[in-house]
Amino acid sequence: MEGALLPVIIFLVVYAAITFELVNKAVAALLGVMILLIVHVIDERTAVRFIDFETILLLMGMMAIVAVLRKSGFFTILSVWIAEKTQGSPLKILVLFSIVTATLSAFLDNVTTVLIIVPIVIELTSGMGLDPKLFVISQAVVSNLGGTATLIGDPPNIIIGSKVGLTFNQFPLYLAAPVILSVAAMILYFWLTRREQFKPIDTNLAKLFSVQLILQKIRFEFVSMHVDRVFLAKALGCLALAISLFVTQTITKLTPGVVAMLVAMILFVITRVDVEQMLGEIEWSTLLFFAGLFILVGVLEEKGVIEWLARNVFLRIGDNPYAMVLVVLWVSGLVSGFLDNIPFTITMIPIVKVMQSTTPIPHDLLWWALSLGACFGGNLTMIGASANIVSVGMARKLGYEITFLEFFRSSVVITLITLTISSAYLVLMLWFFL
Amino acid sequence: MNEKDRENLYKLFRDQADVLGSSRLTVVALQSFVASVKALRCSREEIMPLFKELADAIKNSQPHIVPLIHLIEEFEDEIEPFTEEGLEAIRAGAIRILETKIAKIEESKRRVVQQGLRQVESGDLILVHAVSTVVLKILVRAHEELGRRFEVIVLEQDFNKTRQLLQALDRVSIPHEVIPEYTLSHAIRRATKLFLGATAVTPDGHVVTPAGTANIVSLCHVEQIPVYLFVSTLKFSHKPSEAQQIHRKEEHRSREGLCYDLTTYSHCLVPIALIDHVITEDGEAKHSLPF
Repeated sequence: MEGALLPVIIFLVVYAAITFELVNKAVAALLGVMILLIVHVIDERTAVRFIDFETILLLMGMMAIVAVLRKSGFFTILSVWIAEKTQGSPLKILVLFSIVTATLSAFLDNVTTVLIIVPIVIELTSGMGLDPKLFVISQAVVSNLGGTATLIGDPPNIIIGSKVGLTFNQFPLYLAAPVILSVAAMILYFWLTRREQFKPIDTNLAKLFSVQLILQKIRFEFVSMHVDRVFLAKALGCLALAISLFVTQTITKLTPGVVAMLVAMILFVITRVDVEQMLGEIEWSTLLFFAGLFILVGVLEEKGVIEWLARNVFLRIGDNPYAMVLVVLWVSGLVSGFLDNIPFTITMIPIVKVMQSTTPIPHDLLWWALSLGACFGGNLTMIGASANIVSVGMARKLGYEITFLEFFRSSVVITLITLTISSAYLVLMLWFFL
Repeated sequence: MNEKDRENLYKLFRDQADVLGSSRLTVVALQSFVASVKALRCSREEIMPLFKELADAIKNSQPHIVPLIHLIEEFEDEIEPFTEEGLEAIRAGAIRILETKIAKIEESKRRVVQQGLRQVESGDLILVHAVSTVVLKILVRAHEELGRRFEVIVLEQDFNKTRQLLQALDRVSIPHEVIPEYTLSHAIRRATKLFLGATAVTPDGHVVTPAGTANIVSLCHVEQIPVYLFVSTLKFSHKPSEAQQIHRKEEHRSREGLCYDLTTYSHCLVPIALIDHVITEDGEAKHSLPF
């Protein structure tokens, strides 16, 4: 580990700056890279080599597709439709919105999903005299759960899929079951612990009246909205094309990054959108953050720090596959609750690679443990995932303050439940395959 | 109905009134009442008290939605004979009565529009402010059915309040320009008329209108631009202006180092003396108003 001290110090300082939000995440990561370049720990060519362009391409492509989809009005149509279906039943609001949020999050980014769903959930529930906080927390949590089911649903999965070479189909094949069980467990938990919130309103004329007024308002807003049907059809057609190309990845040999970027470019051409405006909606700072982190972790890997960590921390537990899988799951889950799960996943990938090469575990179960831990762990605290922060921020803007502790009281139990479900699932899989 | 539920309901009324106008809100509220009665699950003994609870809440709304209140009062009178009937008979009776109330306000609106059409002439440059479905229909029908060629100046409030007006004018290609309501002084000399709707007309000589209207009417009065108020007689209230429960909101603002308490009101009170023409379903009514 010669020459590893400076990269380790820089990495820890960058991590602290990201965790305590001392500076912008992208700036923190790239400043760390610049220092490494200035002191000649690495050169530019090596730095660029560390960047995983497959991940960057996939993220950029998906962000562009979502930007066009948002412009098409698809999300508004969908949320109005669900609002109509709930007819003001609190339980239906929880169940239907959770299903839709989980499904959308599996294919789009979680922040976009909660940005669309949370305002309408607040409008419906507050208008009915219910406490919207519970519903806001549930949608944030379920967006993180749903995003775990696919390769493109959550950044940790994008990174794992790209760095490890897992296919799009493998993710739902191995992760759909724990995700579905976890969503069901979350709904059940909220229903059992907050029964008074889910009382049917059809015996209360005044509440029924308020709900009907809200639905009329939502309908009116929808009717006033201009929806270009041709544009909408093109956007949905391209989303379907992207998903089908993801699914047939093993046949076409096209990587998800290429598919996402290809479909985004096709969308730009056929919808004739203002490309500058759409590009403005891409989160460039997130992409730069990813690039910077890839370089920082690449340097640690090159200097042998990652291997040292894997051998002296994670492999200390021995070569029992059950213990290895559960340690990766729970460490990822607990750490991701307090630290950003993106740098954590990038750091963990080389560690898990060492563990996997030391004690091969069938069916990539170590990777699924990392994915479940990093994604589900984001639910542990309000700062654990971007979707949580955005949901709480939107609730505050609409007059409902959710404190760190209020969020934590619900989320800690749900995270423990979902990590326990994941543990049981992984243990069962190991028992079956070993 | 607890205080919080009432507050939520009144806020919904205010939000809806801002984008729909009070006449359309009345129709929407009655339709919502019908849908709620259909979905309601209760016993025969419970249904009348539930009607009363909702009717009381509507009658106390902030501000008073006067046409809705009148129609709900009529509903209460007409549902009374059903007290001894069975649950389904009461439910069917309530729905039937409410549907006749919807028809009544629609007919009243139609007649006001009919009267209003006479006030639009080719060459007019008409000022419009907040959303009024009656004013909107007058403009659209005068343009489309009567072929009158006129222009409109839309005094812009926030986007949600102005959106419906602009969409309707765009749809039928009525030439229009949009200016912020606070810059009216630059355009007023070109205007020939101001068209207004209202939430209520009070017996002490005031018109309850969307916030911001009083300033516009005052300026028109000073500049001798005729002000037309199109209002159904269902909007004539029995209660004086101070009893209209205009919503007063205080909020704390903090911006760029300055902290202050901001007080806003949901509606304006415009003296009827500043209105030149009051058009009801029976025609011009200024000299026969009950005050």
